[in-house]
Amino acid sequence: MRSSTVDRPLPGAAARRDIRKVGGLALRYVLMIVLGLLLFAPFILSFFGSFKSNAEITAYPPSLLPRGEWQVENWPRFFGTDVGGEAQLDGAVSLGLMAGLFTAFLTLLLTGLTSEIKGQRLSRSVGLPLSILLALAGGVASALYVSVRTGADVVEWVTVGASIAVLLLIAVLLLAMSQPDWRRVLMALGWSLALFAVATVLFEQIAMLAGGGRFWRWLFNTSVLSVMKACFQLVFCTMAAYAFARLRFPGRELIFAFMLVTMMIPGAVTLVPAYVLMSQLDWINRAYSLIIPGIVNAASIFLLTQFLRSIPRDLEEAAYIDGASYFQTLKDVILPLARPALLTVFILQFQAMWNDYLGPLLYLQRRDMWVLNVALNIFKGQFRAELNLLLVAAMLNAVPVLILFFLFSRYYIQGVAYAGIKG
Amino acid sequence: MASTATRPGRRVLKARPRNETVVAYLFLSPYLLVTAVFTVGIVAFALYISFTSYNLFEAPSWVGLDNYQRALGDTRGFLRSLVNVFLYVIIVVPLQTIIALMLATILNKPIRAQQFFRTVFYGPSVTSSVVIASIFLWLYLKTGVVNYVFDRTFSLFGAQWTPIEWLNDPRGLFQLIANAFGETIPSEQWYFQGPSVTWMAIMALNIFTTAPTFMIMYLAALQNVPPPLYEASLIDGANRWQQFWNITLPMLRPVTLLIVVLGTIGSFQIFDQVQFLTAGGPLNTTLTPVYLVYGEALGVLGGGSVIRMGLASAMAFVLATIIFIFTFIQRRYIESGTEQY
Repeated sequence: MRSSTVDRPLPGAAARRDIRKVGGLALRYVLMIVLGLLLFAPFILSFFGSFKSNAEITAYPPSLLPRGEWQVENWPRFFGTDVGGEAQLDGAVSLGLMAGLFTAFLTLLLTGLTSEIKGQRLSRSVGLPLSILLALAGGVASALYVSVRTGADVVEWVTVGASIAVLLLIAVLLLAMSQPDWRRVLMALGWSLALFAVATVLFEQIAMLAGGGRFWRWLFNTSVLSVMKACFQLVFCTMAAYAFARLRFPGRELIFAFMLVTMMIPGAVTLVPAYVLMSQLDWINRAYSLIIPGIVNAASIFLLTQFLRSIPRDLEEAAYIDGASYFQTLKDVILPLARPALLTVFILQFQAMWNDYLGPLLYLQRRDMWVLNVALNIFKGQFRAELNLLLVAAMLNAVPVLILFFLFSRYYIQGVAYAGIKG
Repeated sequence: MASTATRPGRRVLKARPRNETVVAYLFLSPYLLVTAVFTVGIVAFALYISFTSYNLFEAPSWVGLDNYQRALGDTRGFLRSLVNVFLYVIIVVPLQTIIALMLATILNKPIRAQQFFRTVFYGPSVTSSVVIASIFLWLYLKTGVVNYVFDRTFSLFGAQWTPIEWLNDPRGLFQLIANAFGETIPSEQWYFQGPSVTWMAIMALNIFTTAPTFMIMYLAALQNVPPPLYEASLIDGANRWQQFWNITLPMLRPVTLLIVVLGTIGSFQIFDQVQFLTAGGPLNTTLTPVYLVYGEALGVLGGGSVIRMGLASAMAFVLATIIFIFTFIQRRYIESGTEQY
């Protein structure tokens, strides 16, 4: 006798449904494992292949593990590969200057702000011109350094000096808008310029030490460029995103829409004129050609804007009432809250620069300025027969990005998924 | 409300809104400066160059529409590259979308291992295109793993497999199919011969890395489909397939549009693998527009080519126009029906 109006399932049907559910789950697991292995197969094969000898790597039929003994010396052999080409100062100086610029910028912005003024104030009419002068002096000094140290062309050291001067000037003006303690600003400027010089010389010397057409130099180039680009973008894109997300100003919607439009310009169109521009500026084989246009990125600004818009305004408003300036609020209140988005931008841009091929292929043509991606080209020419070294090179190129990915996979995936949902 | 009690040395509150505009533009200044020079200025410069003949050493000389005419009339070169890349797009974009959807559906179960497998699936996409190309350079050898796998599979069925030189095989797909029926397509009608074996090998290589990226987008979108829809359909007696076809797919339409458009834009501009593996060969069957732009701009096309910036720029604009038209049509077609209920 049934007591409810709903049919009760028979015991046999329930058992069958459970078996089907478990079977379905098991099938899914098996499928995922098989697909995972399939997707990773090339890397697994390459890893084992990097320990094989030349003859074995092209032998047929191929085997998974090395048949004889493992040729571990393939790896150090690749480290020692030298394709010739002397390390030249102009490239090294460019790497140093970009690293130095970032150090200076960061130091200035971090140490130049204060919310309390102790003792006597330096008046704005004295502090501001002095700071501007110092910023410009920084640009002039870099220009002179490039010109004297590398005997560079006029157009090169003028444009480099001008770019650096403009960026330092922007930093000073940002501080100026924050009602700062001008003595503190001047001190910060002093420190920044000192660190600028130190970082520049340091990176330049390391670059020269790492050599010319060698793996260590290529690794150094790739690392410095990737970190610098990601760091610059963190600073400048956050500033732009804060303006879009929080500030009201005429033209905001227009500029934002314009930014979205620029994201749709195919790279092929900018290839030719950008190359012409870089060669006219004499920025080929210098880090400037990749870093200066790369200090901002529309996609990063977009991602950060969306994120900042979602932060509740209460904390900011409290900061405003306490008398904090916009920049100070950005630095002390927003940035700590925006850490996930900042980390995502850093990781994605680091990866983008590490994996970039067309840009370095165009602008960093000389052997001592190669990045790891471009260096793989030696296996089409001189090292054509040494495919086991090719696998070593591919592994070395892939491993840092893979490690970064596995450590921070959450942020990678958030970044990509975010584009999918909001885009 | 925060306390506004003054402490010794505390500065006085200044009015806020007055300088909001100035500050905003100051925050935006790096972006505006860089964009003005390296985006707006560059595109305008590109347009100008496309109407000139410019070899980087002498001043550009105006030639009007000459470059465009030459590009569009170049059967062996630019037109060939357009055909190649068109075949690429219509094969790769649907394939990578479907594979991405399949991978996402398989992964879309709230089990503990989902995070792990999601990471594993996405891993290969994280490395650079030339790293993958290098590895496949080795896998695609005549004595390589791919030929080996085919060999073993064929011998399972008792058939014979002749190893293919994957990266140097100009035989077209339709040509091969025609040959199987004893027909042949004359070489003057190269546009009917279909994608070459090498071109298809490169397509496979690329889908391998792009599908997981789009899988992530599908996963995120799948998790945004409201469960009540499925529950309601269960009451109506729908089976899994009907649920997929009538609920999941329509709900995924916006993200599918995005994936198809992004995939198209990316596929039209394929460059890295072509430059690294084949240099447009064999017999121009893997030539792509961006590779031609690069080659003409730097004079590296081989066979004593010269630098022709104007031609390169014109080709780039033709490609950009084609991409724009393509994605416009796609948006119109797929977007009709993305209204959310």
